[in-house]
Amino acid sequence: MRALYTAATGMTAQQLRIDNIANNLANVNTTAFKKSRADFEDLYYQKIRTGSGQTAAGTGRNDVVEVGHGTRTAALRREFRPGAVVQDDVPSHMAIRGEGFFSLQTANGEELFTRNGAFSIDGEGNLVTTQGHTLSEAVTIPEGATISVSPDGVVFAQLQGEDPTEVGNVQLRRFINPSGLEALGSGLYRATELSGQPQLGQPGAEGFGELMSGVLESSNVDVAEELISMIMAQRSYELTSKAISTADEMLQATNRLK
Amino acid sequence: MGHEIYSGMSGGIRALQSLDTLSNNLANVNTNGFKADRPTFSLHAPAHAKGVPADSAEGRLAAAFSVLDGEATDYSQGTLKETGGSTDFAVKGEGFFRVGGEDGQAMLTRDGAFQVSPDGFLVTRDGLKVQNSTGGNLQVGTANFTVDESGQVRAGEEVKGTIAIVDVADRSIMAKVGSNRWAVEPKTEFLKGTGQMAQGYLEASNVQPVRALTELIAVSRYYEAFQKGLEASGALDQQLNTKVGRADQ
Repeated sequence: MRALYTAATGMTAQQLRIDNIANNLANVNTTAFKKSRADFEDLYYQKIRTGSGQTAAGTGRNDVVEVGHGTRTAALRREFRPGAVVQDDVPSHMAIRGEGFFSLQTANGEELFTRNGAFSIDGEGNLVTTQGHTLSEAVTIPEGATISVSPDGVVFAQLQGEDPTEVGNVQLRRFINPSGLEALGSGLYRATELSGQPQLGQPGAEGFGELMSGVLESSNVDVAEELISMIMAQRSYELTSKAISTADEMLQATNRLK
Repeated sequence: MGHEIYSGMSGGIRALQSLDTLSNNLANVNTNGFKADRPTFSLHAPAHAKGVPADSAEGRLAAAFSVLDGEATDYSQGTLKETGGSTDFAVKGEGFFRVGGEDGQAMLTRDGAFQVSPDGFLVTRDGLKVQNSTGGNLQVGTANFTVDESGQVRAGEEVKGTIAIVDVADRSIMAKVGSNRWAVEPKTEFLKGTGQMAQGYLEASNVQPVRALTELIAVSRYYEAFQKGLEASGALDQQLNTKVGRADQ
């Protein structure tokens, strides 16, 4: 009785889909959050009868009998479509309008990537994330200066009564396959073999988004879309469970035979 | 005792086998590009009945075994879901994407959730290269490309090639191998599929819940009927054993 196990794989798949929807919905207000989508694949097919290779012309009938074994989760694919831009008037906050990632250096020298431009200025005048990772490009902001960032990434600092001076240049990285990036939580990503090596570029250059300062990128989760997916997942779960109850009824009937 | 007890059994096995296939359809109700399978059955005449015309009363009685003799895949179109992803594709109409195949073992799929590999090829999520219309690989170099209805890929002004939509003359040679793919014989000739390419869409599974549930009900009632048949057949045999050969009856 394969049917029981086959149907169970379908229910497991729907559970995972719900888990993923729950995570997307939980991050509906997370700055620069990128939603994931669950993709499923059918499992292998067992040939219970090998065909003759001949079919009656025009019937479209396949005399090979193959029975499938259900479904599995093929991938949770992250979708890097940009979220909306929300103004918060903090001059050190930035958002990328289009493709690209900020590059960060962790305390132990590893390079990580993020779309979350909620930077603040630390005691040494560096731009740092809320986790304390510094921006890879050296930007040193004098104490008490107000900063502004041009669309092509040049950071200007202005002390009271003086002209703005250039104090750094923010560059972006992009990946040939961003969905291959490893998500580390806190909006951080690590490059992998799948994502390819980071390609460096100036904001606004071909293929790179422009920078905006005083704004943050919001989550790209669409609540309505997630709720529809949730209904679909719940109903599909119910539907697959009917196959289990049918299999159970038939097994009961078998046991009543003698 | 007659052979009706075995005809009943073959019907029961048939029902159980159909349930396996129906169960697989249901499990794949959310699998992109999945095509539902419908088990087909035929009546099988036992060897001793050979030579009896099939349309005679004896022939119909003798043709008492039903066997699972094949599967018909329902290739009807699944709903297109918009995803907006530049590397998500669906075929509208007839035809398949052709993937893999450097060693001649091309496979077909309707699941167009592709990605760009680090070396710039359009690949499936497990890394099989998507084929272009001339049977080669498709090097796109970037995920910033647009694809028109004919499958032609353009990155900016540059034409990168055409994503193939292929078909085969006889789909019964296609065998499902899992991972949303069909395998074909190594030297199969491909025809041009008549379908159109839709970028930013994925094709949902074509399993229809109402139909799937109806099939489940049908198969479980069929199984009940088989059980009743066996009971009736058992009752007849019992009468035979108790009544025949008793002089006082």
